[in-house]
Amino acid sequence: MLVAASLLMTYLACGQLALAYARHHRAAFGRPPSKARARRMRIAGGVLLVVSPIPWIIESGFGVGFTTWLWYALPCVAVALVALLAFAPRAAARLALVPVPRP
Amino acid sequence: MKKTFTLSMTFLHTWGGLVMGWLLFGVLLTGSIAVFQDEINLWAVPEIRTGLNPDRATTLQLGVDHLNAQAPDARMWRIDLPRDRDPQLIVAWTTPQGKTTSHTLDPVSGGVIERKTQAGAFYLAYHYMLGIDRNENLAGFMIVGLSGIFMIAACVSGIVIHKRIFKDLFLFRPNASGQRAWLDMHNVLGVLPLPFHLMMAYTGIVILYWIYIPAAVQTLYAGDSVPFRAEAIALEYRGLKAPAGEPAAMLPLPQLMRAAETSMGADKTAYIYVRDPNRGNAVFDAYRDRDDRVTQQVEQVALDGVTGAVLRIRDDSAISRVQSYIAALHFVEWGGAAVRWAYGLAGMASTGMVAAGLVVFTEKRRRKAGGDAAWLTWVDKINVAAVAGISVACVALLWAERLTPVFPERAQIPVLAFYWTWAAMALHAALRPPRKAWGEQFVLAGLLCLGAPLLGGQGWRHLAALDGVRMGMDATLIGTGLLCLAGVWILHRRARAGPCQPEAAEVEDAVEALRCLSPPAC
Amino acid sequence: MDAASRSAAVEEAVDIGLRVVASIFGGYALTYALTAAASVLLHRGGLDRVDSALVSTNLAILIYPAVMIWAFAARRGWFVLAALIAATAGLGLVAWLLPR
Repeated sequence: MLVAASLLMTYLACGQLALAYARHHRAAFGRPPSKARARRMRIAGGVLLVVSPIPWIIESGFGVGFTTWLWYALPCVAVALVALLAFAPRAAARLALVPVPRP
Repeated sequence: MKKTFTLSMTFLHTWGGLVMGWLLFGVLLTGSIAVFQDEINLWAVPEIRTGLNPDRATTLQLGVDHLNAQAPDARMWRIDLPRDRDPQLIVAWTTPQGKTTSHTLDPVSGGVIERKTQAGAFYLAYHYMLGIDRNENLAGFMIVGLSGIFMIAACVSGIVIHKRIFKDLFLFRPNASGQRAWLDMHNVLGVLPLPFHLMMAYTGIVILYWIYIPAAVQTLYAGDSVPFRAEAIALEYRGLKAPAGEPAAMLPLPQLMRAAETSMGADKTAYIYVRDPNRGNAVFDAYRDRDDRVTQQVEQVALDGVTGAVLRIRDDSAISRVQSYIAALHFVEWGGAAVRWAYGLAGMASTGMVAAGLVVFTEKRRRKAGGDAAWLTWVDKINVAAVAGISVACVALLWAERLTPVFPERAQIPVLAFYWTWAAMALHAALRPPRKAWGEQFVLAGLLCLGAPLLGGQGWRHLAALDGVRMGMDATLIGTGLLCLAGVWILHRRARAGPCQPEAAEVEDAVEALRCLSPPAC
Repeated sequence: MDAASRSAAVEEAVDIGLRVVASIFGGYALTYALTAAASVLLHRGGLDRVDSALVSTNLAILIYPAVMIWAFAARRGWFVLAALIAATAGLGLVAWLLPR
């Protein structure tokens, strides 16, 4: 379903953005990200964020799709990510498809 | 006020947040619940049949037949056609004396559903009016409006005082010391959905802007809101001042509905008003459904009831359409289940933010005071009543719905149960030490949630009939109940484990706190 | 508590009280007066009555939380109240003296 695709992409985006932070990267992988990796993750997260409402817009039209994604779905997904990050940072990272950094 | 802007904002956010938070928690909780008022209504009235998909023209005619039998000489009829999550047929009429009566009918058989309920509607009534009908007294309505304005000020002041707003964007440390974990939660629930909070607070007031601030009606309409509403919300055809015409035969209403739908879209009529039915001056007014557009004011077509001629097709100005969009952001009567769930969950995030903030207030000061200052204990007791107490009351309402038998004046009883339960919980909070009261009340809320689907054996009936909406409600109740009980258990365990070792982050927070110039204000 | 710190405490309480009154009632009064003035000016400027009411009211609403913030940020509570009364009166005059 297109709505599910939007939600998943939003999660991936937030995951990339969150794990670019040293604190959360350390919690998931044991060490902070290099500057280059952090920048890659932020860019990936930003792009994903911009693209994620598109499936919903295709499903429900721009008015309903974008409005719902922006105002209601995005905050919910972000809060859900925080919960996951707090209790199971590695799982949160894996779900966000963030690859384990090379040693 | 204080030595710096930040300290002044801390004062406003902390003390304003405490007092207004007591009010806002209930407002936001009932608002979040009210997102699902149609589903709650369905759950509360088992007699409404779902999944029927009746032919709309036939259903409309059923309604008309019923109205002709009950009130052929009414000044006004209203017919609500069955819709996606509102599968009943509702007819209402207003007598020449001005009294309005409404009947809920089965959309296929036309039989009257005797069970009257305010279940879903009460949550909405509490949310924006504190349960006080604004046609009788504007007090509740205005107080909620004030709390919305304060919410905007609280968001802004919160941004000012949250120094590490970007660094701590995704930060939640559940294992940190009590106050730190609660503050993290308050920050996360506050900052990530911040656009949502600001938008909801503002849009809530925009919906009925002219009642909150009647100034423009005063200056431009000499204080008379009737012509204003007639122009602004197209209530022109609802005025009952003109006398009824001579009896005349109307065109069949299904035919008129079809004519109206040529401009509104097929099968898009949500509800219909007929002014002066069965008279020469009858006016048929069809209103479009809201399900597929982000708009609160809907398209509307008015036809002459006798000749079928088009009298008016509503055409709003661009500015009106903007207000309609803004209002729709708050109502969210559009979109499907996914939209509603996203909206309801976001609302619960706001609700949780307020609760966490109230807890932070007492936890932080208890740590500083080093003991139990009497006034702090009383603040905590009020917190219990304002948060846990009203939560129990919200579920108690559903229990009362199930337990109240069917008789004409039954609708008020669950509402009374809500208020009495809340009063009882407040008394309990006053008498018990706060730490115990929190747990006891949320355990009660959890048990009530778990028990509600079983009342009257309805839960099994929903399963047997594979009734999707009602099963969803049962599942939500069970899930909420489990969450309440799990939350109490987790917090109880943490309290028993005692204070934990400060971690590096806590030390850095403590250092930051020492930099605070004026301790009582932080 | 000795006499000096008691009077300082009273002073602070009064100051806070003034700010609370200013933010709640002063804020509403200013919002109301601003709406009134803006609605008249917009209508005179050519906007129809409904649109004037819509724009003036829904924009003026935003001044209310701003007043709340200012009421607590400003140096003196009595000053806030006085300023709000003056501004409300001024805008009120604009609204009621101008022909519609």
